[in-house]
Amino acid sequence: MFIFFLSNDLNNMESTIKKKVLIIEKDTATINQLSRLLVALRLEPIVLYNWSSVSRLPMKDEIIAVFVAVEIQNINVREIVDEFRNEANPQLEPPVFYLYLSEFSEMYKKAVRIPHRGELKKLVRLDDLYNMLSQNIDLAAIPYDELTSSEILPRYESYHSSLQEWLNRLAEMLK
Amino acid sequence: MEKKSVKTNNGVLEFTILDQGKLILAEVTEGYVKKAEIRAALYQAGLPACILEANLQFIEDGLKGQCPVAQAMIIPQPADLWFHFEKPVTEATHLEAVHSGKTPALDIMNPVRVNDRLVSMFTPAQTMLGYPDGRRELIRNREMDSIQLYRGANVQVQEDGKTLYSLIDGYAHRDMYGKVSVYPVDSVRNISRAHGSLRMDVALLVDGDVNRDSEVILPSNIHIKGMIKSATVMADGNLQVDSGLDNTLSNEICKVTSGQSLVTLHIRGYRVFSGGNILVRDKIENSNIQCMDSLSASIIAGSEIRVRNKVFVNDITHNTQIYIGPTFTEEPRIKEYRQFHQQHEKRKIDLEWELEDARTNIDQERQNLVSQLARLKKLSVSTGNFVVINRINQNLLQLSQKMEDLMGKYRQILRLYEEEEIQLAFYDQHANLDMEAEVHVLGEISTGSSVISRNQVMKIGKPLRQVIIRVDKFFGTLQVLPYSGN
Repeated sequence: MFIFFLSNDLNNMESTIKKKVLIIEKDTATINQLSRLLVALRLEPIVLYNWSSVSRLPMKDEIIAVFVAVEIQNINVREIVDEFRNEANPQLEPPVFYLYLSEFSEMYKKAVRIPHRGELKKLVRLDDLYNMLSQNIDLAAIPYDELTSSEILPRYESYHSSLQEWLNRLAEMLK
Repeated sequence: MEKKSVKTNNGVLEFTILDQGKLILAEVTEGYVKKAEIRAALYQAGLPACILEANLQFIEDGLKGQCPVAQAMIIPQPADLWFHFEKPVTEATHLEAVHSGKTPALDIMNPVRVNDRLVSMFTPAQTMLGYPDGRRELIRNREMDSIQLYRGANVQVQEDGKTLYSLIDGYAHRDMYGKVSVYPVDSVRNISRAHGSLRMDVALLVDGDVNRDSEVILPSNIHIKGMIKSATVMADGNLQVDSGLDNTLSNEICKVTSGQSLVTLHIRGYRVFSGGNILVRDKIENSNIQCMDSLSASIIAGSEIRVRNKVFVNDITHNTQIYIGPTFTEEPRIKEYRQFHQQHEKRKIDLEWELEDARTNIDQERQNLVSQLARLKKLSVSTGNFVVINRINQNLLQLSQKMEDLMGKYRQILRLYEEEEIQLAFYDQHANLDMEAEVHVLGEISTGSSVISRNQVMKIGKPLRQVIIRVDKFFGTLQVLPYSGN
């Protein structure tokens, strides 16, 4: 009973707000173009030049969207899509978008059969990118960095007070 | 999504307005454009604010495709204050001084009596969301006690929390960050080298002169009825020198600074900084002047003048250089202040990481402890299990204490950071007023003199009479207009 009580409220603090966007791309012009808009939308771009390290990616849980250049040599698009699949809770699954140069390329034709949420042809138009993002992500919910500071302290204060209660209950139990 | 096209000198810019006006993208659809042209085009399209300056360079460098050029930004807004003791120095005051050659009826010493009301606050400091089209949306009122930020020496907050009043009789002044102080008035006959470096917490009335090689540094106003002669005088408040500033020894170390306005007869061979207005009845000669607001003088000769707002002058002669506009002036301590602010921001972010780290450690230990307790149920109870549980419990207590300490530090740094943010916002609001920088020449600007703006150097080839030289706010170039004589 006590153990249930103690383990039940282990994660009572809100998780960090998701705002990281993974870009798997080699072309720096596209990376820069995407990053400029993402930063303006208060998102944090993370760039990977290959996909092999995706499973070991730190802060994977904070990723809100994924962009994959499907024409990169030796890339396994299905593996990437599967990596971010969340069958238990599809709502928490980050949308995967494709970046491509030609709709006639073999790699694109292969990738397009795998489920994804959208595609952008390079050179990417930022208004198309914005429309695609706004249809899949609640952009208005991304907070301004300047506003989060004042919210941090109350969150820790409430966490700390719940910790104190927890420790008191533990002390009673250990008696 | 809305689109607007603007034709510039050498190309066409297309703006795309997204996210209900919060984000503006720009694309060059024809030719090429320069940074100043993008700013002007944004203004023309009704999007003059919240410009992403760093991104303008990409477009000037020939970036293909769209680029964000303006976006909604969080703007700290200082409290809306009224300073009761100040008499505003207006354009008319300057013009009166230049036309008549007399000191206008202006008492910049700001005498106040005990219990006099000094400052009233209409709205507290706020956090706003500024839009590229100039709109501002209130996000929240700052929780801090706003009026306390503006309380300097010998000043008290009234019970209503919206008014500051004086605790003593004296001279009042405010600094560039809005802090108001009152200091008692002391008077001396003359100041000379024998006094050493004079540093006192008073306002000073000098009946005679401040003589060569002396140094006066005060946190308040100074009124010198005589002259400053090759001496250094620094006042955090206003400075009035009835008989002028004369660096007769051409001593390069000598300088005069006033945190607010300076009123005098003439300035000869001096380095001068003023955080407010400068009114000189006669001549500025061979001097180096920096003025954060407007300057008026009868004649400016052989000098280098940096003025943020407006210059009113009869004649400009002897290769005088006038730098006009907000780019050329800066409060001497502002860089240092901004560096402190950045350090505090860094410390704040470090503490946020440390807090997050502490929380992760606590969660891990709690999980460990719960697993240990679960094992107790299954296994027969041994002393070893209790030793482990007690050790984890002790760890948790220490971690909880650490988190409490970190929260205390974070609370302090956050308060300091937010106060600085509001003080800097006050400085920025007053220093970057949306003004039209101009040089009003009532007489003649002679050959060899020059007027310099952000993007243009105008060397005077033939004398110009009765003109206004205006800085274009967006292009940073100069326009010469006839003086209308009002």
